[in-house]
Amino acid sequence: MTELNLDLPITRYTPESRMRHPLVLLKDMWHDLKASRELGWRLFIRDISALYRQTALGYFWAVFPPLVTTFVFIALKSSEVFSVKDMGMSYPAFVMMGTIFFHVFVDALNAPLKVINESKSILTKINLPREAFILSGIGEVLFSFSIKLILLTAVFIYFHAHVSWMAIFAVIPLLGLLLMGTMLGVLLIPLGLLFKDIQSALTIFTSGLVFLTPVGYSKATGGTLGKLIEINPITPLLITAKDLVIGKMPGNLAPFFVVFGVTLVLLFIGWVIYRLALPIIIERIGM
Amino acid sequence: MVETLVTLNNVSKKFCRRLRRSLWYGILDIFAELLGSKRANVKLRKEEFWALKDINFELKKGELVGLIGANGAGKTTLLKLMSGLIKPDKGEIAIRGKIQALIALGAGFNPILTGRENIYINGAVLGFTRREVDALMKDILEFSEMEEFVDMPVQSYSSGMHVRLGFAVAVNLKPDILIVDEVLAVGDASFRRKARNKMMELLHSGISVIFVSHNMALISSLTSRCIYLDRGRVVAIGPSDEVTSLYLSDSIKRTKEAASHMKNMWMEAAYLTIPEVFGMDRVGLIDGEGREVGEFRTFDDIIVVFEMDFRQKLEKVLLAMTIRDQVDDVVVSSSKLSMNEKPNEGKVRVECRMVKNRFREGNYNIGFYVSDFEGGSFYKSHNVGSFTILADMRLIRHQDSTQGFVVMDANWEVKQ
Repeated sequence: MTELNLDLPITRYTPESRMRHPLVLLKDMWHDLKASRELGWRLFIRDISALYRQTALGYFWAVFPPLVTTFVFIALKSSEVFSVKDMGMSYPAFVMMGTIFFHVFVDALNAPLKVINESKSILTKINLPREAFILSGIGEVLFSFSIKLILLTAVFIYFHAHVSWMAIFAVIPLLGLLLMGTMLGVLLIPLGLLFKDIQSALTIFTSGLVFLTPVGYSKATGGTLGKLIEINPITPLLITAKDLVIGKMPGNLAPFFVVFGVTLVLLFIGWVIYRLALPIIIERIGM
Repeated sequence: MVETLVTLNNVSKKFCRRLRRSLWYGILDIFAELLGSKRANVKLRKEEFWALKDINFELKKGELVGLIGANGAGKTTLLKLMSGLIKPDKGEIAIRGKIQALIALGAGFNPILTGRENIYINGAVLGFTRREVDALMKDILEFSEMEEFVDMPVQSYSSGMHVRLGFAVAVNLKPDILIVDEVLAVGDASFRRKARNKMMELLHSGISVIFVSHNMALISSLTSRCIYLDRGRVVAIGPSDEVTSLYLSDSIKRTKEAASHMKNMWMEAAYLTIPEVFGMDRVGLIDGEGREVGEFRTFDDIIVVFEMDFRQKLEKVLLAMTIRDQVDDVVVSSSKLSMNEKPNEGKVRVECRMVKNRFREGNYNIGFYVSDFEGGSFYKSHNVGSFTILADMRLIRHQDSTQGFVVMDANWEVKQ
């Protein structure tokens, strides 16, 4: 091999695992993340434009799921399937807020696999910074959330619900929900690419998950359900967000920080797995 | 010394035949990867095969290299390895610079969006910022001749427009190495010419190109070196003339084997015979020197020998011969009529001399038909014999034309 001094960067591809050169791996990850911003933005714009250009209901789809969940909870409460302690604000507004915040998690969870499955044809044909797909997925979640926020504002105004100045800090737990959903979504990508049923199973699972969270009920629910809600990692993030919005000082913040911290660590691990697994999967799913 | 841009050292790649097992191996491989496996000595697991084996190759700056081989030989796999899309199972690939792989045109195109929006996406997919794409937008639109249509949704484009747009984007963003995979086979003649000229332009500016094609005339006229792959192995790497010749003669042998197998199946017997009147004893082929051969070159004389037996005396005899190519199209035909003269009775030997044949390289079948010119047929066969015209690359390049059913013996003279 001729060795000449050129300023072009050299890339080497060998059979051995890239975990054997962790510093190179980290450098590549950082480099690709930076390169992914432009592409991620483009993919995001592409998918949003295409989706809303093609559907009859357009942007309405963003608000549809929380509306449905809210109505379900209102109906259940009024037929007294469960009892709810007074939470100091109108119930519909309370539920709507919880649902919308919860959907940040759900959308973030579904997004990575959805975007990757839609982009299979690019993935199998071009070598490109794959972090872009995750970024574009996050973009879609945020976009959908901002539409839902409009709905929430309308509901709050209608029900004279009070929003405190502390609501600004709700961004932090919401970010936590976003990151946690993304983390789980990314971890599922390798399996989800190899086996088609994972994506649909995920959708079914998340539609039922809302009942294991304090969206429709207050935290002080008893029995088995209460226990499950308590150990659900979504709960601390959700409760903190809601508390901040209505101006209540968050109580025990320890679970919140633990969940947030673990999420960040697992997100990083998920990113590494994603990077290492994808070339192996790509060669097997399509030519 | 010319710089080397891509080096492949003993590169091998394996695949699995069965999907489910392949997915299972995928999971195992992911674990091996996460656990930092060295993968020093990779062997074939059950149902696996080597899609590429022991490939050694160097691509230099400003070089145009051809990549040829039958379908399934491993060309696309090799391209994917070189662009870093998949990892090798053995060996090492070193790449200096950025590779633009045209393995798929219009990658990332969303049909609902307009051409312009898709240009930005395609540019981003290939690693360019919006500003860089903006600077090149004019060139892209001019090259693709799509100024009028660029703001319409891509789903309303014809497939030719797709190709033009995708190619224009990929080619105007100047990569260090460009891989062109069958792309120039699509699109109309004027676009193909433009695409070719653009490639030559890129070459002169020092960009290396790997060109994959089934068109041997194009490969040998454009490229200096060529790699010939067969079933995952390198058959030859060398000057394009020689390597493409080798490929052509190999593929003729292959189709001949396939054809002879098929010949036995349905065409051996004549499909109409009246044995009381006529019988065919033997059909053979000889060359200009009277030797029995099965292979000829273009412009040779080909003599077909028919040894027939007229078991009844006939007044009028019409002999007709057709020469059909590999897809059963009749390339040429000829006939002889005899009235009250030979050949019309007893054992006769008839020779048909095709003077300075004009056939292209390939395999041909001889059809033969005997009738009495009044509607009565005594013998019909589409395949009484066959012959091969050998490839002659110098000839083909000299003529510089791969079109047409036959070759033409033309003289070009400059008057004045």
